Amino acid sequence: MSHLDEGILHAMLDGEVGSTELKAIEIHLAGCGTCGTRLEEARRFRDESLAMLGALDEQPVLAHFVAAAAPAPAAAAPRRRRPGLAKRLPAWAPGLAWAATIVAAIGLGWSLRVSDLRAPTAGSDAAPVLTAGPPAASPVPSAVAAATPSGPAAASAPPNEPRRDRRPANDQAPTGLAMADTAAPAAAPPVAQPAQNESRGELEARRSALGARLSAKREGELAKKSLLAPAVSAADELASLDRRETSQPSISAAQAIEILGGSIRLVDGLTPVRFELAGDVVRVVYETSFGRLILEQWRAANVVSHRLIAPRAAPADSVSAWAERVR
Amino acid sequence: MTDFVAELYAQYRDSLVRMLVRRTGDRDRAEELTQEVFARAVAAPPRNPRPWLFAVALNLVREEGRKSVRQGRRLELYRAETPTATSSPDDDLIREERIAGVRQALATLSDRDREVLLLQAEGMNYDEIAATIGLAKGAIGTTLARARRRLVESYRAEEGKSNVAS
Repeated sequence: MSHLDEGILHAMLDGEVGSTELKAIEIHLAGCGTCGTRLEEARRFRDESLAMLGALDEQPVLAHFVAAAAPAPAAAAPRRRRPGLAKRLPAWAPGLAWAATIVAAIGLGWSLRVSDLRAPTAGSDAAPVLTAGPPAASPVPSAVAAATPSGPAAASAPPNEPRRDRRPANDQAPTGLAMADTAAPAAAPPVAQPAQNESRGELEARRSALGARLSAKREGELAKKSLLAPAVSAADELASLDRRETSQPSISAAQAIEILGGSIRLVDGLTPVRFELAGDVVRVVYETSFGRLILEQWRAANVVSHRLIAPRAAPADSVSAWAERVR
Repeated sequence: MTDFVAELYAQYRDSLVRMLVRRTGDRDRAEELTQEVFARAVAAPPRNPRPWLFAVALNLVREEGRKSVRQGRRLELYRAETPTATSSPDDDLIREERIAGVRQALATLSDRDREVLLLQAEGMNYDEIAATIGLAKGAIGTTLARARRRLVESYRAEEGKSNVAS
C-alpha cells in the first residue's frame, strides 16, 4: 500500500479533510509506522513555521525603547487598549504606545528643525528636498560663516537675499523633545552654507567643531530637562545599542544637513533613528524589522550623491520600495 | 466609507496589516497598502470580501515590486553584511537576529508558497486561500507542506551556519 501524501497530512492537521476521507487516513495511520512518523514531522513543520511567522510581529527596537523608557505602562494601558485587541496584545504592548509617542516626538522635533522645504531647482531632481532650516550653533571659522550658498539647491535663490523663513534661535525648539536633536544657544549666528570653493582644510575644521558641539550637547543641556528623561534615556539606550554595531560618530540632523551643503535626502515614511558621520559621508540610519537601513550621502564637486545600504535579510521588493521613497 | 466597508475594515484591517508586515517587513508600507486596499473596496465593494481584500493586498505588493524593477533605480543598492552571531546575550539582539533569520528563510520561498503560508497563518481555510491565490483547493495542502518544510529547513540551515561561525 502506498503511503499518504504529505499534502494530505498537512490538510489533516489543518482540519481540511472531510470525515469519510479522514476515516480512511486514520485506518492507514494505525497500521503504518512510516506515515505516523511523517505525520509527526508534518506537525512539527506546521507548528514551527507558525511560530516563526509569529516572531515577525515583534518589534525589537520598540521593545528596547519600552524597556528603557516606558513609565508605568499599567497606568497608560487601560485607556489605550480596545477590548477586542487587548486579548491579542503581548505583555509589553502597553509600553509600545509610549515608545511610538517618543519616536514620533523625536521625529517631530527633528522635522521642525529642518522643516522648510525648498522647491526643486533646474539642476536638481524633481523631488523636494529638506533643507537646513533654523540656525544652529555654529562655531565655524568666520571665513566659512561668510561664505555664499552653493550647489544645485542654492541656485534658485540669490546669494545675498536673506532667507525669509529663518527664525530667531530661541524659536527653534517649540517642545522640549526637539532639544534632543541639537542644543542651539539663543544668540547663535545663522549657519552659513558652505562655499563652492571651500577647501578640504576648512571642511575638516568645520567637522571638528561640529564634533565638539555634539559632545557639549550630550553632556550638558539635555540632562537638565527633566521632561525629556524618557526620550533621552531611550535615545541613549538606542545609541548604546548602535555603538555595539558601529563606531561612527553620531551627529544631529541639522549638522548632517549643514555638512551636505543645505539639503539632505531621507526615506519617505521612515523615521531616522540617528545620523552619523563617517569621514566625508553622512549616514542616515533607520531601524526596520529586517535590520538597519542606511542612506549614505556625500558631497563632491558641489553635487550630493547617495546610496542606500539595505539589511541583508530585506526582500528585494522592500529594498526597491525604500529606494523609490528616497526624497 | 460605506457601512459595509466600515464593517470589513473593523473585521479585517488588523489581519491585513499583520500579513503585509510579515510579507514586506515594513509597517508604514503595510499600513499604506491596507489603506489602498480599503479605498479600492469603497470604489467596488467585493462580494467575497476576505479573499478579495487579501488578493488585492498581495497584488499591490507584487505590482509595487514590478514597478520598482521597471522604473529602474538610480541608487546604488548594497546588501550590508550583517553579523552572523551576536556577541551579547541581549534579548533584543537575539530577537532581532531571529526576525532576520525568519525573513531570510521566507525569502527563499516562491511567491506562491509564501503567500499561501501567510494566508493560512491568518486563519484562512483552504477554500479561501484557493479563492485568493487562484489555485485549486486540492493543491493547497501540497503547497503548504512544501512551504512549511522549506521555511523551517532554510531557517535551520542558516541557524546552523551561525552556530558554526560563532
